[in-house]
Amino acid sequence: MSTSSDPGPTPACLSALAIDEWNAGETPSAMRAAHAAHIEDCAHCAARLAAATAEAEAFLQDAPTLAALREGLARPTPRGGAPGDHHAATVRRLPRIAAVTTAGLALAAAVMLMVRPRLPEDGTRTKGSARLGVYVKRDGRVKRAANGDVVHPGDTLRFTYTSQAPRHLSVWGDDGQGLTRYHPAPGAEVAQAEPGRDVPLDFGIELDGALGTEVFYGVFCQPRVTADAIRAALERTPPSPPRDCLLDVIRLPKEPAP
Amino acid sequence: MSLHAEGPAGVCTPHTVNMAAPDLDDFYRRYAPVAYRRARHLLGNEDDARELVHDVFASLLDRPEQFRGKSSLTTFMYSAVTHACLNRLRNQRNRARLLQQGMPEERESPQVRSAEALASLRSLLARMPEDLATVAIYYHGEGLTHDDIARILECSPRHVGNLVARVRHFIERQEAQP
Ligand SMILES: [Zn+2]
Repeated sequence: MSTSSDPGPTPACLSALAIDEWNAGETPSAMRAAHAAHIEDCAHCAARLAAATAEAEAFLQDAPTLAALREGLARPTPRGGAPGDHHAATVRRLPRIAAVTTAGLALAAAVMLMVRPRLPEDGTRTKGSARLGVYVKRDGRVKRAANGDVVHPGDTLRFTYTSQAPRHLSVWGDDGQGLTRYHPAPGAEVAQAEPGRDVPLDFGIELDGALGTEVFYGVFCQPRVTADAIRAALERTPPSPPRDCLLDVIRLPKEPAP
Repeated sequence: MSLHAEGPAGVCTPHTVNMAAPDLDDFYRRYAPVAYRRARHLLGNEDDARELVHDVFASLLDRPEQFRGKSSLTTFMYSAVTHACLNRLRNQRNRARLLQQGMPEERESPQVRSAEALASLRSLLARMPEDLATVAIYYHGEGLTHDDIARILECSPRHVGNLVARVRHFIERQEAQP
């Protein structure tokens, strides 16, 4: 997430409010397309979005709840440090698969929807009215993957969801080292998923070289199920959906490219 | 009570959208980081910013009815944090100390404000009428557009333009004073 190649702002750049609304998923609908196009083209704004995400993560790591924030106020901890210090800590915490958020969404969604095949009908992972979809981009070609499909280092994964009812959706990954939440972005607690079929999500994952099975969880919940409750449910053995949630699981064995 | 009630009432008319009070834990995780970043920027130091974020969220816990009628939680939080920052800057006990704070390096806004310019803005804010001070924070302190400010204040962009002009006059008058 280096900003060393940041070319600096232009008059068309997003304001601080626009950046914050974008991260919170609250961009007014009239501005959404223009902002997506700008972020796609502007390294400066892409870097600002990444920095805001990293800063939010650092803040929440330090003060994950209001009670923790209060506790921190009561004890005189040396906090000093520039915002950049937090950033470095975040970079170290990155999982071995890197999330590529937002940029390229519109294009990727368009490409992926052009190749949308029939939904897989394997009953093992279909859970009623909500499910996760995954597309793999390899050597410039995009194809839909099904549970159990083999993926390779360097593949890029994009996700969609299908839901018959409005729900809150979060997408998590487990690479064998621990759970990572990919959607919604850090700092945002919930993401509303409107009913739809194969609706593209605004992040992608580029697979690194570590081999093993990548597991992805799509958790479709009623409002008010917290991220912590979802995480706790996914950390159970075997992972189970929290109350008031539907869980869809996709397992993708990662093997060396032929 | 609405946080906008202390702004330029009668000109800025909040529009009402039915939005249930969100779960506070969710709300905190989603909006506290932005609140903290803005408070740190506006107040100029991390400890005051943390305290302010705590106070704002604790107040929401006490009086969740503040959420009602808000069309966007991000703009609602902008409004709440700005209001709390202004109160803090105007509080005599904090004022002398806060006015001396340098600003952390600003990397968010395209219209980058120097630490010096922000420190002098902060001293002006304490003397400005509240409606002007609010607009000065958004426009001069954070580089927001007229449209952004209009959405936060729930006013027309034209009214924001008038307020920005009045802020400019206020600053010019202050600078003209010996
Ligand atoms: Zn830009």
